[in-house]
Amino acid sequence: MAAPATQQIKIRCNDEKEFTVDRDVLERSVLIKNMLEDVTEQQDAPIPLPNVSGPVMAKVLEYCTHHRGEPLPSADTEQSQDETRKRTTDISEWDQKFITVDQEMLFEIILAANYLDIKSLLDVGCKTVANMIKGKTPEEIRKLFNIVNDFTPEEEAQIKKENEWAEDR
Amino acid sequence: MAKQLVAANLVGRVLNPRRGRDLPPLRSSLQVVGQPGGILTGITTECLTEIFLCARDRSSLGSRSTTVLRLCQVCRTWNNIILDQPALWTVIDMPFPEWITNFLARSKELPLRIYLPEIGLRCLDIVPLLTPHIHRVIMLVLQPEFEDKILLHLSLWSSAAPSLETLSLSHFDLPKEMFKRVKPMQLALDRCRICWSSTIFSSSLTYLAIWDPHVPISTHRLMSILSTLPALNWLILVHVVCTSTSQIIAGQAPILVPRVNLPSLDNIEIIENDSWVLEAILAGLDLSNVSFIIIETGSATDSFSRLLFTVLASADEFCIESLTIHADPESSWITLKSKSHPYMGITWDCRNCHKLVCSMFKVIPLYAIVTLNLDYIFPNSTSVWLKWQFALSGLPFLDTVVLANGAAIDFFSVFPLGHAKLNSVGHWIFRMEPDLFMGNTAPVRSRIKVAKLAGVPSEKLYRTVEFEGAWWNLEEYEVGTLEHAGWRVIVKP
Repeated sequence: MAAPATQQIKIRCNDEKEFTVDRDVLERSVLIKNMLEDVTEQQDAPIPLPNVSGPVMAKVLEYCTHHRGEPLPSADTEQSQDETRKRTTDISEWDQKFITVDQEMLFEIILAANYLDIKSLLDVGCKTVANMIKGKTPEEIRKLFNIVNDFTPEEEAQIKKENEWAEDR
Repeated sequence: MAKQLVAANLVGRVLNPRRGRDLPPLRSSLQVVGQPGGILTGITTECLTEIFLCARDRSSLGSRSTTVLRLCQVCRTWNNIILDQPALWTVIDMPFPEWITNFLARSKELPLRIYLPEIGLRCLDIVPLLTPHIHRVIMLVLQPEFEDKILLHLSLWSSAAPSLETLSLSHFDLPKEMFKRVKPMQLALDRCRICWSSTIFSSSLTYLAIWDPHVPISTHRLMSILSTLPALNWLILVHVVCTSTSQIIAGQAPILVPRVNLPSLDNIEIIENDSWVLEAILAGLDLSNVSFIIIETGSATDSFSRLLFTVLASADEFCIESLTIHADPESSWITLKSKSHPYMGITWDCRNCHKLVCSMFKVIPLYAIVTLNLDYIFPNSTSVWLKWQFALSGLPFLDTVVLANGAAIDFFSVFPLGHAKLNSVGHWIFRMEPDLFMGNTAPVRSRIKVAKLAGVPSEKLYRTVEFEGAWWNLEEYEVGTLEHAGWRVIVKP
């Protein structure tokens, strides 16, 4: 007997780029999963995803396809897990390769994972940025991410004075 | 912001039924932080907070507080976010009273992790600061000074730390009544004067580490305590001075202790203890569920080794997959890894490596070895290699042989390859430290005849030989002979 065909869902990104994807892949996104659960009749119109562009969605789908079938973290398991331990867990080899992208794409992926509610992808993104930050001085972090130092000279002097001992560690 | 929320509404009737439930968190997640500029523009507070938490927790203990303080200095936006997130102030790992006060206040009522192993004399100022917050401390690592004032505070803690999960104390008197209502899951006592009848050794313990306790304990008493810890998963005993009325003299039979079955015991590290103490402990513990053992002793006796081998051989599913023998004269060790338990490993120091190896091959079921790693072995007689040849010949699954340093030099000079039954081996790996290569072993180098491998009968269709390090002179080792015989030669710089 032939296996039942996987339901295909259409999505449309903010640049009009459309994807047709297996439902179980898309359901890695809790946002989309909830949407699909609310729809009883067959949908022909694509689901609009106005906060995600086509190239970013392609990356997100690459991730979701690779991790399809893995159990989704439920609210209960999330609470019961030691958050500190979870944050210190290493990024898997495949995920590391996947997330080796330029900074702009990295932050786009984080934003998309947050919007689409894909917790595991958000974790990978946040850990990657955290690794970039780790061990760097404030000035090095500003340089890395092109952040403007918007403290007034007085504020900066005050903060530096307060944290003087931390500078030496 | 408005544009983003309108966009969410485009989903229309899909979102409508869940609007009440989903939109508030969606709105919150869409709330972008101020504009710090650069690539981070548009990143939500929620995401930035998670990044900061990851950056903190991925720093080593001892520098997590400073990581948070450094992030505060990047820009005003980050500073404001961090100050507003109590979760970022819950790890205190710097011994500065003024900042500890800030961390305690900013963490609100969230659980605290206190890590102050080198607090020294500052404990006089710091411990009183911590006392009002001890009810929310879940981890406490402290090396206090012996001061009456501190003891008074710590006495207060004993009944007021219901959340304490991890307790690690160094250089500390642990009287019976101290921490009598505290039931930590993880307990580490380093050079403490331990009252062995303390209720702190409770049934909730999953991790117990004891280094150099200043109060001796008999082997029987130690085993008796262990028998009351059914949840124990990890046991570390370093230089535990045991006394016993039936203390044996070296050479006598091991002490008989009550058999203890700890069903959750998975990791054991027993380091720098007298070998007769080790024998007693190992004989008393049921090791069938243990997946990782580290034993380090400079005085491993034959009787101890035999006992260890016997214990291992009796474990039902123990099946050695990988064997590493490192025989540097300054530090020798042997590591075994098991196939049935991926993390199974046994490491122990030994002086007479060759003798131990020969004993081991007789007792432990090594027939399943897949990987053999010989490192720094300079045998002083051909007879040793002949014994090894005898041992290696009985390994039908052996697939990978790593020859490193001394072994790489000597193996081919004395090992009678033609007679060895190494036909299951498909991968040979050669590794050498540069100092050994460039040093006074240079005259020996020319004796490395890797090409001899071509004469070894093989059942493998494909065979590889791999050289690690850029200093291997492949021409000198006549590697071309192997290539002609269909071998794949790999060089890894």
